[in-house]
Amino acid sequence: MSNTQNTITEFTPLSAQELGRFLRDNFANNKSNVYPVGGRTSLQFLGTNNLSGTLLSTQNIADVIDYPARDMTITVGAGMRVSDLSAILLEENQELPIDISHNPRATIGGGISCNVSGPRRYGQGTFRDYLIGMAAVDSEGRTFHAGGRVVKNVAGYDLCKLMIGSRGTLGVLTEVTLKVKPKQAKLEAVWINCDSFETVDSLSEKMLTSATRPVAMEGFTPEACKFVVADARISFPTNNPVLLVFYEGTEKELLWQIGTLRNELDLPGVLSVEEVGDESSLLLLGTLTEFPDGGDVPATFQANMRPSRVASFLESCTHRELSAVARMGNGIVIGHLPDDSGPETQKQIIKDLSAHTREQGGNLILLNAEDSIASEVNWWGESEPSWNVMKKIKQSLDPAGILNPGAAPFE
Amino acid sequence: MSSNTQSAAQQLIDRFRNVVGEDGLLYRPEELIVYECDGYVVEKSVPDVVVFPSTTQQIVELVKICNDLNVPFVPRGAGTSLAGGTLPVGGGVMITLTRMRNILEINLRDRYAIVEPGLVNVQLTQELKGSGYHYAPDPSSQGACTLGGNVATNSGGPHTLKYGVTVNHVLGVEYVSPQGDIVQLGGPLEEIPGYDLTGMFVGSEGTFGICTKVWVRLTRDPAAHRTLLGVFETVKDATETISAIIGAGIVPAALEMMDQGIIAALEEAFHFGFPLDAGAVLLIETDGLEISVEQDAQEIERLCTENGAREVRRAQTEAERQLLWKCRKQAFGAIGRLSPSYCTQDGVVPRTKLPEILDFINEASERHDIRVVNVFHAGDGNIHPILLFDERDPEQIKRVMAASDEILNRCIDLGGSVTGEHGIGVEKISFMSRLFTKDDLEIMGRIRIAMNPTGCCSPSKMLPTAGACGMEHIERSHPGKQAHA
Repeated sequence: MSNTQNTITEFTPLSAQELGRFLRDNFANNKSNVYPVGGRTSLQFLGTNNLSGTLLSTQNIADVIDYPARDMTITVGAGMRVSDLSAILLEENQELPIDISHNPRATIGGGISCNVSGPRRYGQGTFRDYLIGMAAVDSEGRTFHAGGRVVKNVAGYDLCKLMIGSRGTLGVLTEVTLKVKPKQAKLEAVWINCDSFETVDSLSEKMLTSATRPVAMEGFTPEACKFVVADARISFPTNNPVLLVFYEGTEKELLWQIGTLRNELDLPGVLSVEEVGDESSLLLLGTLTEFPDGGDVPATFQANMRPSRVASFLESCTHRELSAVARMGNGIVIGHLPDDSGPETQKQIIKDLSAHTREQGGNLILLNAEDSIASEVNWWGESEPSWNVMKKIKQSLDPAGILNPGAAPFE
Repeated sequence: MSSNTQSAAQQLIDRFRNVVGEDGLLYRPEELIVYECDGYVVEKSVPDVVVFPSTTQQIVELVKICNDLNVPFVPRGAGTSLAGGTLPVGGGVMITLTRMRNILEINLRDRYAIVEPGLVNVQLTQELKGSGYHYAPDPSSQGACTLGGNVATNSGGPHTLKYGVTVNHVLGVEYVSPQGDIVQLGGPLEEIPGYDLTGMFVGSEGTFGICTKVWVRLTRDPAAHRTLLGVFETVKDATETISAIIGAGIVPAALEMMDQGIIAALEEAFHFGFPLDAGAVLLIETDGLEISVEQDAQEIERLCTENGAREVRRAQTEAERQLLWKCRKQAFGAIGRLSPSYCTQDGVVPRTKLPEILDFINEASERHDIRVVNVFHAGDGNIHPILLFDERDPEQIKRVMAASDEILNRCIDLGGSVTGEHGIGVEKISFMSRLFTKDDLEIMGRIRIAMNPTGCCSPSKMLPTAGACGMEHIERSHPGKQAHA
């Protein structure tokens, strides 16, 4: 949020009903813009720089509505903080195994709306795999539901999927039902120092048929490596390409998996293999989860491509001295532009990286950009044919176009 | 049939013939009768024409002709729908995808495959054998059902307990829209900017268009399995064991239940060696690392015994494991020994409510004097009570419908749903207003109009609205054979 010249008010309803009344009255009277917010950790996703309307907060809609732990589902208000949700689940030795950044402040509704995920998406999946029911309020103030509270349910259109990643442009989430899983006992990582990105690529491919089953596989540029070891307060070599492999499970399972991996890694190009240890592994996971929040960097991008293309993209990022982390098995690279680069250089880097991903059949979006370039760069990449369909969906659910306008790729 | 209708039908046939050729068409009454229903035999409606396209472009042309002549159309795969999802309500055109059954690409490095909609589900996994990967969604009908149909209904199967349903394994779809455009949603990438339209398309039961290509995620084969058969004196003991297993934090790969009625039919048909005097059996599979599965299996054995299992058998070899799964997946095939017709329901309840719903099913069975056997995905709470009857007897049909309604209403009362994997189709449209509010249905209706403006694609499915595209006229001139409820 950067433009302070337009009128923006805030409203924090005490309940979903009050939220609905607000939207109904707004639609009937002014049809002012409405910007749903949760923990305010992704304000850069608010559609345009010219904000005018109301920030509508869900922070008071945060109760546990239903938690039949033996059914392994939970229904909560969408404004519940992720940290609170995690604590509630932990009491039953359960978890929602999605790594959500800004954990203390982020809300579960916000996480869903921005389709947040982290390193463990490789082994544990994303919100698409866990959101089984929801209630939301549309721009006209009507509450609508989809899914339910059972883990299998194909009644009606799957509007849950539609809401995931919709950034508040289709409705304001007020209630979510999630599948949960038993909490894994331990987490450990293995730091594999490689002589080249070619080796990183070969190893990633080898992991596809490893006898082990990693829950995450992360690759780094050297710049990212330096940041990660500093932030996680660990001591590992940072001058070479790295593949970091995470495992979850019981102590026995981890021991076996790490031992087996070591045997499998007896390969040329592998310079060293280090076990990170459980405490440091947790710190590393936290650092990597928070990595997309670049702080004061000029811009942060997310490049999506096929996993087989990731290593060469990381190499390209390295040549540009970018700090970038890759979810190797998912084909996702998140990177920050260097903060000592000027606007013209930044714009060129974004253009070049977009072209690179496009050539590889992928896409590149921006997660954040400074004011100096924000209005001059393409946040969503090249137009996709499916955007026409998205536009029709938006028009059908928000005909007045007042929910977070400008935040969807086709706008 | 009026002469106007005859000439319209002839025009349709002639124009279709130009697209798919004579051998891509069926239009004689004796040929069309085969397509009067799918796996939901209670309702029947004969299409006017059945066409078999071989390419996406042919589908585009067929759809445009339908639009031109204001004729409704419905896609169909293998016709295994158990909810009337492919019923051509009011006649119209049935576009059958079974000739589009190629595997277009398998990419193990990037863990996806691209398939055509008419590919039989199990054939993809068979093709992947030896690669270390498989396609995870495994409906019991996987030897016949098609991937396009799986996309339409968001199919499940026994292993969804651990691996999820179809939507969790679909990265993208290509479809021909009801207006005749080719649209791609998603693709081989995990993320694309904007809305998850792929996720919305899966489970839309053919109402958004005709799927012509699917990008599916491939799943690592587990390193090891343990497959157990728990034998129980009573259904109650078996359902309490299910709760105990899930409550212990164990998530098996599959957890299936079969009651005495279906066990008897299976034994008679296949001679698997099931105990005929058992009240129920649980087929439980754990998979994962070798180091983990044995521990899980032992814990499961302990829980079964603690909850009254008479015995717990283990598959000692892969062949024995396959045999156990064969018996589960062929259960429906054995029903012919019990009755000439059956109607299976697809309700879902929270797992902890399984004992309640099974008691209720027994009561409903007695109340309506309709025999019911049960084989279902116990781990998910997804029940499949199979109501046995003779469709030639209208009185029995009435009682089956009444019992079915009661069971599904009870599922809703217990906090569940009326369909876990078969879809709403035509069968369960009347339940939509019990499951959803008017506002919910209105919003779903808006989305449907956005995707399918004239309503000509798969009319009268899923949502409780009237058909469109001149449906009223067509319905009157082609009254389908329907069960007298």
